[in-house]
Amino acid sequence: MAPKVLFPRTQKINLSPIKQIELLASKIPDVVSLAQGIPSFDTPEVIKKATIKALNKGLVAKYSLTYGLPELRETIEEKLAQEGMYYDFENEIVVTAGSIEAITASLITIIDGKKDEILLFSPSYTSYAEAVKVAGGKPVFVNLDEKNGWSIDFDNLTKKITANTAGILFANPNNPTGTIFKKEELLKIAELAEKKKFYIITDEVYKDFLYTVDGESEPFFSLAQIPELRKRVIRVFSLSKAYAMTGWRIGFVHSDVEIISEIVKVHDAMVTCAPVISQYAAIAALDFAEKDIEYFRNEYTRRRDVTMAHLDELSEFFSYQKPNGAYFVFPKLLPKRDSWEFARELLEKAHVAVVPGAAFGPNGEGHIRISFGRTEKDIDRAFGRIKKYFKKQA
Amino acid sequence: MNDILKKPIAFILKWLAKAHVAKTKPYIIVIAGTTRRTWMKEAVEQALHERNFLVRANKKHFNAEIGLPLSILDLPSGEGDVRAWMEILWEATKKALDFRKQAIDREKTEHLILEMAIDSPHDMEYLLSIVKPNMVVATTITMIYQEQFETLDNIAKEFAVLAEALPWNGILIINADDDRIRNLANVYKGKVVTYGFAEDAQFRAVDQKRTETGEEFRFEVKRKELESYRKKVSRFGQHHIYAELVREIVLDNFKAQPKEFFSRMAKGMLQRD
Repeated sequence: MAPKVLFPRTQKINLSPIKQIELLASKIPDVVSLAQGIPSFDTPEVIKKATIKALNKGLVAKYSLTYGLPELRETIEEKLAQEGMYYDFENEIVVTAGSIEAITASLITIIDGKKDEILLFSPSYTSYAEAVKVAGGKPVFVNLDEKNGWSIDFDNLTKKITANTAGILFANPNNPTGTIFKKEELLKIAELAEKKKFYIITDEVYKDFLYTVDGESEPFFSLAQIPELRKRVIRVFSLSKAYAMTGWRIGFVHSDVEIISEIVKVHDAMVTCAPVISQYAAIAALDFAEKDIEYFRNEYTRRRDVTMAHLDELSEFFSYQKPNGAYFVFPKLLPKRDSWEFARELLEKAHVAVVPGAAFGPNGEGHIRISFGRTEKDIDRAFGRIKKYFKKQA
Repeated sequence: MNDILKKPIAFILKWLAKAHVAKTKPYIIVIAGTTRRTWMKEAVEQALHERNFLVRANKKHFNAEIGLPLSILDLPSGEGDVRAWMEILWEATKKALDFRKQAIDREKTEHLILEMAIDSPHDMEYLLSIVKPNMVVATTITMIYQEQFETLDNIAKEFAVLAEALPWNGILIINADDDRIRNLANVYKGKVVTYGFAEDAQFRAVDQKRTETGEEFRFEVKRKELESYRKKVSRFGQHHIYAELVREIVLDNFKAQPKEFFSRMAKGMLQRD
């Protein structure tokens, strides 16, 4: 008789491959990691000071409202309005424990009965597929077109839409490719969503890190700017990357009241409210840390150039699409090879951690993700080792 | 800013701001409430601009013991920089002691919109020791600062202190849908104007409908006869309707000024109701 499987449902859920690589890396001394998407910066002083002030005033010991502190939600409404998105702080914005909680709560809300398929681009962020499974859904991968700068292949997308499609979830700019989806592409998705009645979850955590192409930055467009799409679009944002606050676990989700009033129930059941201390930090971040974002953006631009220069020197072994957003590059391995095997070998032999492309969906196989969120020194050290590794191989 | 610096800076700024107000005598409009202040401030500012008044409003967060005097003096914050604070104090001193007619005349006619934010008991008393209002717009009382006050009623007491500080010819504009705010009418004997969805609100919104592009409602006000017509705000949320009602109240209470403001000012023709 076959042994009984404990927890059959969670057996299908995997620990994020990024964390798996980090776990492996932690066992090897002197590893340089370009794996995790963590900014190298500390949280800006202005945020820390405001948080200490709130802490000392005794403001953080109790729960906030489930939706979040009204003052923070007011600030979010103002910020959104500056970006052309109009949402009611009282009923349409929920402060969450980072973006992944917002995404999971949104998925749990929209996945219902037979409507259980969630479209995910491949490659896309590793935790999306697992969040879909946690919510009781089925991830359905739609390959992006690498040859056209990892753009959306609409023939493929249309084919994957069925009567069971509950929604599409994507990051814009995309992680791991750094692609910024164009306005026309997003509007086409919206058209399909309206026609086939499914929801759009847009994760815009990297929207503050856009890079100039020939001196001009790509204009950033969000579907949440279109009032007519309010009942179709759920937008997620996290302060983790933009304000170097990954450890604070703070973000928010906004949409039309009829969607948010359901999401907030899931949010309540999962976390009651986002950490109140982090909510106070978020107020300071949104109000006072604009200069810090500017500084981070300039740093990432430089680090992106440094990373690409290294990759250009290794053109025999990697080809890549220039990222226009986020802080990742997703090079293709030349010749084609198994990404897990390569990542493991690089870790063991060169002591450099990168994420295997297969972690980002089937279309990511044969690639690796390199984060240039780390310091320039780390990037140089890592590539120095990678170059030595390839020399030895030769 | 560290605590050692904060106290003397707050003290100096308070007295310089007081001196500046005494000299220039601006018409002070205070926006108070635990939430929704930003949109009320915008609405009041917009209405006064429509009436061709010179208006200045405080920047966001410039609303407490340091921020309020800086708003009055129209100066930035030095944040954590001691040197910057020294320069700001010097600028503040020059402003407060500038008795040239040109400087005074310009500011004498200015309408100053100030948020007053409180997060501990007796904060309002302190803020009122810097400046007193001619008009108060009270929004709502929610649980935002409850930690320091124990109950929402204790927050209401702070706002009662503010309402009591109005002069006999002042205006108290209150949200009729918030019982604690409504009760402020009991502590002020001058002109009180109510707004909201409540049946007895003087400036009333009824029949709110959400459209794809914003909120729609029927606006009702009883002047000689009941005036009633539909209005639309291209934002989402009831707070934008409240802001629109307050904008109407301000328009109703301030007569339009001719555009040639400075020539009128020179002739002493400025007036307000």
